[in-house]
Amino acid sequence: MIDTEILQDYSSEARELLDEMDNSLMRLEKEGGSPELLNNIFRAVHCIKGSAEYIGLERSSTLTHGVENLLDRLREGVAELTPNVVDFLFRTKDVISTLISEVAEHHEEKSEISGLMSELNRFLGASSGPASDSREQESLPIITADQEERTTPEDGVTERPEVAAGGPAVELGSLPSDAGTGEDALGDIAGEVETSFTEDRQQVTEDGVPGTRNVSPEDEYELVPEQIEKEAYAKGLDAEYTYEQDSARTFAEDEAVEEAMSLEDTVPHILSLSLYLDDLQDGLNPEEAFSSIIDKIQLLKRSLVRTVRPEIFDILSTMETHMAALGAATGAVGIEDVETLRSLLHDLQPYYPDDLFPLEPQREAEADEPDIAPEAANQAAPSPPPLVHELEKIPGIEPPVIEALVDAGFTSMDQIGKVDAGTLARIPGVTPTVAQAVLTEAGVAAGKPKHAPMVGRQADRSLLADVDDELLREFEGIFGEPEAEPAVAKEPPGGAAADLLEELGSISADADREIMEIFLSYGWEILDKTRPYVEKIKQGKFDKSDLDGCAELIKSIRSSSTYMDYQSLASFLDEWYEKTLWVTERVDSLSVNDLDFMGQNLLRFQDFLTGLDCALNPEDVVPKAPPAPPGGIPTEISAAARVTTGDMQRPAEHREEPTIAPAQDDVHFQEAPTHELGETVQPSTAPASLVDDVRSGQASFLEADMEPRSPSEVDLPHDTALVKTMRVDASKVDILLNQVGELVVNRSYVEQLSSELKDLQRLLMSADHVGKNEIVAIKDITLKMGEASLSLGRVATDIQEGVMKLRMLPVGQLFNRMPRLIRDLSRRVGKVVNLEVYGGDTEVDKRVIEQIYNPLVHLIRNAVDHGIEDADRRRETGKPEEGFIGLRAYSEGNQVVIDVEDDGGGINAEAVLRKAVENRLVDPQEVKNVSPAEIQNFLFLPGFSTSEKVTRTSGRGVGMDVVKKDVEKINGHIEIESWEGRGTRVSIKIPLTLAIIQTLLIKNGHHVFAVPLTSVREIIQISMDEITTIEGFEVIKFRDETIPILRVNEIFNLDNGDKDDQPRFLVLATAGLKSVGFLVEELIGEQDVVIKPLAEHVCEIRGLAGSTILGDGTIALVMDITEIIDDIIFQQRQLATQPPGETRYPYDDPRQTDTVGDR
Amino acid sequence: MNGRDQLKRATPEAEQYVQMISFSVGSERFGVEILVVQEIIMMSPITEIPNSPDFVEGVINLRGNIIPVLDLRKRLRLRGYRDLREYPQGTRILVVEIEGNVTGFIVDSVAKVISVRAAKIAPPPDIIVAGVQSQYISGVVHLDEGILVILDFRRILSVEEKTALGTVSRMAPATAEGAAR
Repeated sequence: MIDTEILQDYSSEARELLDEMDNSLMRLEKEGGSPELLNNIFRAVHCIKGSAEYIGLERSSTLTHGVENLLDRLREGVAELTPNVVDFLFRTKDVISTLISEVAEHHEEKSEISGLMSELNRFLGASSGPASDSREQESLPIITADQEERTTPEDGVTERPEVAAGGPAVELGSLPSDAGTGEDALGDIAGEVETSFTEDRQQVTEDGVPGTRNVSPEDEYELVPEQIEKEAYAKGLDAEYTYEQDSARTFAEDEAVEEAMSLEDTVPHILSLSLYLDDLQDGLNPEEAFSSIIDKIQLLKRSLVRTVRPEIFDILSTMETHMAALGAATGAVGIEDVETLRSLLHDLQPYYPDDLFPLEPQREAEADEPDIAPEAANQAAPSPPPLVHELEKIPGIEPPVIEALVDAGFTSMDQIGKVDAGTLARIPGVTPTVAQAVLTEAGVAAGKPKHAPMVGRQADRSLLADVDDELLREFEGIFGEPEAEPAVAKEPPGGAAADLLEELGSISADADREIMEIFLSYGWEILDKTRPYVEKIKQGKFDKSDLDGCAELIKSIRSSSTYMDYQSLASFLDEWYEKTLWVTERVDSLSVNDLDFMGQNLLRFQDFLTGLDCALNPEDVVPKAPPAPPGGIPTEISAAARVTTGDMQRPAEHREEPTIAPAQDDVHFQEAPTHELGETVQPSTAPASLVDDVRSGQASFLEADMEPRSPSEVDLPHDTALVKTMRVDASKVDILLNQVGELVVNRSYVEQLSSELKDLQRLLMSADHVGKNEIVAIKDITLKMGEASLSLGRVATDIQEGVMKLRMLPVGQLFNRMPRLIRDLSRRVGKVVNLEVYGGDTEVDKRVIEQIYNPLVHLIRNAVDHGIEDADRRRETGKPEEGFIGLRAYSEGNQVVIDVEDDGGGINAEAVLRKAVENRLVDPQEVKNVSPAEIQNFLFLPGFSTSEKVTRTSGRGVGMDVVKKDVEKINGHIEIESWEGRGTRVSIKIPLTLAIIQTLLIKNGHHVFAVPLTSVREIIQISMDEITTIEGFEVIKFRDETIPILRVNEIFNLDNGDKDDQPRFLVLATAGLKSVGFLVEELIGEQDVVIKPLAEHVCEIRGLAGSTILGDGTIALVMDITEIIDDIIFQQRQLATQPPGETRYPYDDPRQTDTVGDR
Repeated sequence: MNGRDQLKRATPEAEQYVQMISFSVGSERFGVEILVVQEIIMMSPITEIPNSPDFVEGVINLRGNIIPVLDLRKRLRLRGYRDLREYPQGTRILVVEIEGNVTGFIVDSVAKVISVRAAKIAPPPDIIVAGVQSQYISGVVHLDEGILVILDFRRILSVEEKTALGTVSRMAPATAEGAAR
């Protein structure tokens, strides 16, 4: 059983996220797919996925994962954002929210998602087709620009995606059976595996559209098996199963690719084969490399069978045999074995056209670190220097040595750079001296990038343990794209931290501020500690221990960032750490330049911290921002840093704008600023947002090197408006609020005691027998008491206000759900309706918000269904075709008014009246006397609406009685205003809070009653002769109105004693549209009271809403005006049907007279 | 299940004692299990609830909580039933908590806490004891001083609700008793 607390957190958090997603979806639909919106949605979905996976909610995580994939492709522009897709996203959101509520209620997921998943697959499948076309256009120029010399396999690039797209559809059916054995092993989770399997299939599909994403396809191919494996690991499957799955999937992939495999297409595979051989040789994850090699060979074999090249096939078979022979001793693959394999691989060379294979070294270099350092490839790309040429440049090297080296399987200086002198010396013909020279050259030639592959790869592997495909995606983002590479290595520090900081936007909202601060201070500490080392390194005066120290520090902050779930930061630090380790090992053979990255990374880290600081403490960011880097750092860099930090302040300024603040306020109609900000920021925000990168980055990334990015690009944490919230159980707040109510009451009590004490003091002072000393003492204590009571009063008031505010939430939360509702509704009825929302930041009690939701939905539904006319009709009447619905909230005294207005046809009063007559609500003869307000009141009668709906004439009324009841339940009331032909406005007036109500205290005899102030319309002073009697009822004429008069003592059958005071006041109270006057002898005044239930378990009492304790400890009864008026009407009606003579007092409810049983 | 059964089950063996608060209304002595009683307070100002059954005296402010107060004499329709505005000295309110509801009962006086051997508690007789219908009685104890009638406040409250709603309460006791035997 899942921990309920976690579940609760999950569901409330997820709901918030879903709301956010809903909003973004609405905007998406309206504004088209801006990357910012997609990112928003993605973030929401991703967060939900994360939690769902954590809790182990299979369906939610599967679904969200699928949606993520879809979004990813939308983001990349691979998939097109069609209305269907948006629709699908909407539905998915609904299902997720259903799942969430199911989980919250039943602790398990019940809704089926298979339908959605298959739909999703369709989308994913479909998207690759058109996508490849569009991508092709983009990628082609890049390819040509970049790799002029290559006769780029354009056919391959264009063709393959289509095949890949077709593949999954075919495969989908057959695959699960392939995985059958694996599933058996997994026993009871087999079903789940199948789902995740499908999911993985998508992954494959996605990645199986390789050319589309990158300059050349091989990277993708290289990635696929790894990624799958990582996912498999992530799912905690055993290794065996992993491989089975893996091969099954590779198999699937093969088939997808198979037909299109021409000789050219196999090149990438050959390259990756050679890569894996490297891995094998380096002892990097031998098992994985081994199985991948076998996979690759099999793949190649299968595909090459068709390409009339039996020789290649033979060689491959030989390799396979070799591999099979080695298979037994995977762990102990000797270098010789690898050499053999490598030479076999090289035997393939002759069969490849010259223009393809000679590229191998360069290509291989690229393929070598496809996920890490495409920069190397790009550097090499314009003029790929074959290894031979490179080697020739090495002083003192002989051609035989070069040959030997080439034969030994080295295809690039890179590779050579990776091995040590000993290995080289073992190659026949290579002397240690030469080896050393070669190595030095390799170091120079490959320059910095040469270690990148190693580091990256290790980083990659090390992550396998705790993989999560998001991480992987990040890696793809950071390392996999040529454009992204500069961001890691060379980008100016300011911009560099930007992508790290981007994460803040999504995490800070729910991250615990305290923890973040701890992390931040720790970060600064580490930074300060690291700086001296880096200084030394910069000056070239360093030794191994300095680097070790650095590595240690980086490592520790890395674990912290992992804990904080700053994934980009973690991976950045991880890379840094690995790099540092790497250079530590080779500390002697490195030049100072090779260690440049230390300084850069340090700056980048510093920028990240600054950004984080900025996000955390927007106000005091300036002083802390650029902790002046000690002397050694080049001025231009620190300048760049300053630019960055300067820009970091911008979000802080923006935070002042209400528009950005809490996500829930983010109703799009008003929130243009956020949007714009997002737009300007976008291009640089997402490393994974390939389209942008490809468009803008490719051309310029080379010269973009040391340039600081433009301010707007750096301005990343645009949505880091920290919502500093904590979740508290609502009931705790309720309890607190209750106690505060008591406090308020006690305060009045103390005040009263204080005044009593004063009276006592006065009394004693006038008494003779009290000595002077005593008087002084009493005076003193009275004074103190007075002070104490005053300060208690202040504190109590503050606390009361504070606690009340705790429960206050902006109605925007409620309004935010409406756009979606209107969208769905207007679609269903085929109208175009625009919603405008005002005053979303008006705050009301949480319970009010909860209670008002349904009425509001009802009203909006009515407005859309019946209020707004058809487009034709609107055109006829000269209105714009698009309907308008306004949702407006504002405070009005102690009430909040929520208006729902439309510009529809309004209420057809005649039709309502007709209906009322039909329903015998109105005497046909009195039709003329019925006031408009009364007509509208008919709409609130239960059952009245249905007939209206059928005729559709008035267009209002469905469920209005329910609306009214709901509103009245929370002491609110509802009013309708309508202008025929022009529209309708329904106003809901609700109290700010429900716990404490304002009342008017009235006194009748010794009874004190509290009348809710919301019901009190007016208080007038009257004399008894103004009262007239109509048919036995007392009424008074007041401003052209005839208002029935009730006497409180008569309503409640009170014994007024012998007093025959003439009532002097008339309290006009309203409920709904009815007004009555209460004759009152004495008014006490207004008072805030806490309503308490009134003996509910003993008896039910009509006309009283509850009771409350007054300041003096006495109890006042709170009148329920609505109920009283309802009862009066009921009684009057009964009386009208009764034969005359039996005049009872209208309120004399028969139920009340015979209440005592057993008599 | 009524209180009588519960009482029995709670005290299966003879040597178990039940602590009772004994109080009197009129000339009769009643007992109530001590665990049910939250406290015993002096009479305090009662705010009348209009339009309520006559036995509902009103509500009192018990340290910030508003609790209804019932006149037990009126509720049980005991002899000496009279409508008094003023209660004599010694009148107490027995604050009883039943199923989370706190209710006060006005009694003439509270005597003491007594321990009664569970075995000595006899089921209520068929006939009316001390003028109280047996449906409100969970048992009877014969003490040296006389009969102690143990009241079942749960029923006093719940049956009252039915009667307050004006149902066929007068017939109900007889049939209920008949069915019970």
